[in-house]
Amino acid sequence: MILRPKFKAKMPIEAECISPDILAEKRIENLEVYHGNKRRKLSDLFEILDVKTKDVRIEGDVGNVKYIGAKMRSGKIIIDGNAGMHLGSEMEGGEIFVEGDAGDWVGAEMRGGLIRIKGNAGNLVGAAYRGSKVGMRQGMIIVEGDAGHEIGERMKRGIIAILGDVASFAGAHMKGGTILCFGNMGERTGAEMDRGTIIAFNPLQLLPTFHYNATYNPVFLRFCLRELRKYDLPIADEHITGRYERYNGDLTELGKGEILVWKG
Amino acid sequence: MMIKNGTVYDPLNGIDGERMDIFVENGKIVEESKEKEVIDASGLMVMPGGVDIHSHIAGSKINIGRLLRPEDHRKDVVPRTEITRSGVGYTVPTTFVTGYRYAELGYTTVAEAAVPPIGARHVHEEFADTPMIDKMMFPLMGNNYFVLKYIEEDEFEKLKNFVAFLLNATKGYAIKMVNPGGVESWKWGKNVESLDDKVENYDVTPREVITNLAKVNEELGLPHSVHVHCNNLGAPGNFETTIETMSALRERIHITHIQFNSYAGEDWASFASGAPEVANYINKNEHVTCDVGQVVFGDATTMTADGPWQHTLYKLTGNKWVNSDVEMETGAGIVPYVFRERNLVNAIQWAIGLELFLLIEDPWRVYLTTDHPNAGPFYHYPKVISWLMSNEKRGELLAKTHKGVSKMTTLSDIDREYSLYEIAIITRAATAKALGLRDKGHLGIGADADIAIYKLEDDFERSFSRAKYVIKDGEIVVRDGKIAKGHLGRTFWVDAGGEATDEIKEIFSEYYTLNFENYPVQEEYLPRQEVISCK
Repeated sequence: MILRPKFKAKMPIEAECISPDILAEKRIENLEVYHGNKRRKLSDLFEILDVKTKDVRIEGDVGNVKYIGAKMRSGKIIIDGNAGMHLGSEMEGGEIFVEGDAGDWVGAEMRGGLIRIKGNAGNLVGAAYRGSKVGMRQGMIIVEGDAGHEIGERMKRGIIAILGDVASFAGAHMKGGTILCFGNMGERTGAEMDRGTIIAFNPLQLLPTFHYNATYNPVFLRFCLRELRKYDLPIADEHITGRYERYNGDLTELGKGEILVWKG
Repeated sequence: MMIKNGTVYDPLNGIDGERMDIFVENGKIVEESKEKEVIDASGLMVMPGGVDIHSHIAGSKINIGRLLRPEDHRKDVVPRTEITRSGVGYTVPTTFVTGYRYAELGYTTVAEAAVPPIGARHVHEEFADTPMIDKMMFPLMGNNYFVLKYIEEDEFEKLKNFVAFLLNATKGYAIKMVNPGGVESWKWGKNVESLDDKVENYDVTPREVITNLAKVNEELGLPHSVHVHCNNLGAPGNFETTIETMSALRERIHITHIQFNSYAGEDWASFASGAPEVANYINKNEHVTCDVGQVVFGDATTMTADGPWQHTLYKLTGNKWVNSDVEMETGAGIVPYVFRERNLVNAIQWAIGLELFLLIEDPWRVYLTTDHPNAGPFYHYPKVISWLMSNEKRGELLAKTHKGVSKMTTLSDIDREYSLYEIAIITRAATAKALGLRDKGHLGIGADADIAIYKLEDDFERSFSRAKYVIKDGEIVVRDGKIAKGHLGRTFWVDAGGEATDEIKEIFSEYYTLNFENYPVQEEYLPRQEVISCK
C-alpha cells in the first residue's frame, strides 16, 4: 500500500491506524485520524494507492504524524521522509524503516520488531512512558544518526544501537538489555541503572557511582557483535578483538548494570 | 413520575421482591403523583440508590495519587460526550469520571473517608466537580495535636468542643481515626504496636484516643459512629488488635476495611485468616459495624493516612512511594500495588474479605466496600456481588488462586449465598442506616428519590454493572447504563456546635503555617449543601 500525504499544514496528526495489520484488517474508508482536535478520515489526508499489498510505503514527509506503526504486530512500513513522535511505540513485531529523521519516543515500550532510522531520532528512544516501570522489552532499534536524551530509559530487554552521538541520561533506570553507541555519549550515562549493558566505543565521562572492575575482552561481546554485523552496523574487527574497560553501577541502585568502554 | 410494576427490594421497609409501583414528585418519594411520566419497570429490579460508606474520591492524597500514576490513566481514557465531560479512569479516576461511574453502578451517595482537616477546602472544591452523587467526608482526628493534647490533659469538655468545632470548620460528617497515635509516632519514624503503647511525645495511648473520641461521638449525638481504621493494619496477626479495639468500647464503633485487619499468623510465611475470630466477635457484639475492603485482583493504588504502614508496603514492594506529613494533624502515604491471584498473601487477603462477608451473620452490620482504590477500584463492586451471590463464581476464582488459600482460610467450607435482599442491605439500606441518613437507602414515603433500577440477568456481575435507570433527586440521570443527564449532588455535613476558643486560636497562630481565619471552609465552597443537626 502506498500513502501519499495530501496535507501541507504543520498541524499534528495522530494516526495509530497507519499499521500494516490495521490497514489489512479494516475497511480503509472507515479509518479515522485526529488532525489537530478534529476527527478526519485517513483518506482525507492521504492519497491511498496500491491497496492490495500489505507492506506500507509512505511517500513523503510525515514529520507531524504521530503514532505511525504503534502497536503493530507484523508487516513492514517504509517512510521516505521524516516520521513524527511515538513511531512504533508499543509495537510487537514487524519492521519500520525511516529515510529521514524521527521524533521523540521512537519504539517506546516496544515488545518486538525492528525499527531503523537513517537520520536522527529524538529523545526517549525505546523508553518507558511516564509512570511506567518498564520501557522497551524486546526488539531492536537502530539509529544511523544521533539520538536525544534518555534513550533506553527503563528498558528491560532488546538492543538499541546509535551510530552517531547520544545526549544525556542514556540508559537511565535501565533494567536490562543492551545499548551500543558508536559516537559520543552525553553526561550521566546509566544513571540509576539496575541491570543491563551499555557499550561505548568512545571515551565518556562516567558518574562517580560507577566502579571500575577490569580491562578485558568479554566473550559474550564477541558473539554479540558478530551477530550484529548482520544488521549492517559499522563494527570493525578491532571492536571484536579489542579490550574493554568494565564499570559496574549505578551503585546508588542495585549496581548490577555495566558500562563497557572500548579501549582498542 | 411513576415507576410501574417493578420488583422492589427495600429492606428498611421490609419489602423483599414485591411487585409494586413507586411515585416520585419534587425529588421525593410520595404516595401518589399526578405527573404523567411513567417508567415501565416490569421485570426490572427496583432498589434505593447505593450508599458507599467508605471510599477515597477527593482531596490531597487522591490528587497526589493521580499525579503519581500517569501509567494508570493511560489505559483508561474517557472521551467527552455531548452530556459528559472527558477524563481518565482506573484506580484514581478524575472527579467527573468518579461521579459518572458511581452513578452508572446505581450508587447515589458516597462518603470520602479520610480527610486531613487542613485539606478540607480542597475536598469540597473537588466535591463541587464530582457530579451525580451526594457526598460527605470524614475529617481525620486520631492523630490531631489538639485531640492528643486534650486527652493527655484530661480535658474532656475541651475535646468535645474541639471535635464539634473541627466538624464545623471542615464541613465534615463523622469522626475518622486512622491508626490512632501511630501516625503521630511516625513523625519520629516510629509506630504504635498495641492499644496500650504510648504515643511518641504524649502521655496518651491509642486506647485512650479511641475511647475518648467514641464518648465524644455519643455525647455530641453524631449520626454516624466513630469510623476507625485500626492500629497494626496490614500486619500478620493483627486480628487480635482488631478484637481488642472493638472490645475497648461499649459505644457504637465502625471498623473500616476490616479485611486488612483480620490477619492471623506470625509473619508473611505463616500468614493466615483471622476472619472467623473477628466475625465471631462481631456476631456476638451488636455495637460493632464494619465494611470489608474486599480485595479485587488487579491494579490498585493504596493510599491512607497510615504513613508507617505505607512505608512498610513501599519496602515490601519496591514500588514508588509518596509520604506526606500534614502539620499538626495527620500524615499520609501512597504506594501503587497489584493484587495477584497466584500470590499466596494476596489470594488469602481476597479470601478473608469473602469469609467476613459470609461469616458475619447480620448483613445490617457488614458493608460492601473495596476501600477504593486501596483494594481495587469501586466499579468492581458488581464482581464482589457475584462472588457473594454465587458459590459457583467464588469457586471458579478460588480454583485459579494460589492453592495454599484453602489451607489458610475457611472459604472453601462456606456455602452461604447472599440473596438480592441481602445485597440491597449491604450496599444501600444498612450503609444509609449506619451513616444516620434518614432519607437515604429506602423507598418509603418522604425518602429522597434516589432510585436504582437494574435488569436482572443470569450473570449477577453484568446485572449490577450498568443500571438500567438511575433516578437522582427525582430525575432520570442514567438510562441503559449510560449517563443521560448531568446532575450536581448535595454535600452533607453535621452541625454539632463547637466554637473556636481563644486557646485554639492561640495555639493555631503559634504552630500552624496558615492563619486561623483561613482555616474554616466557608459555605460558598458547598454549592449544594444539607446540614444535619445532631440528636
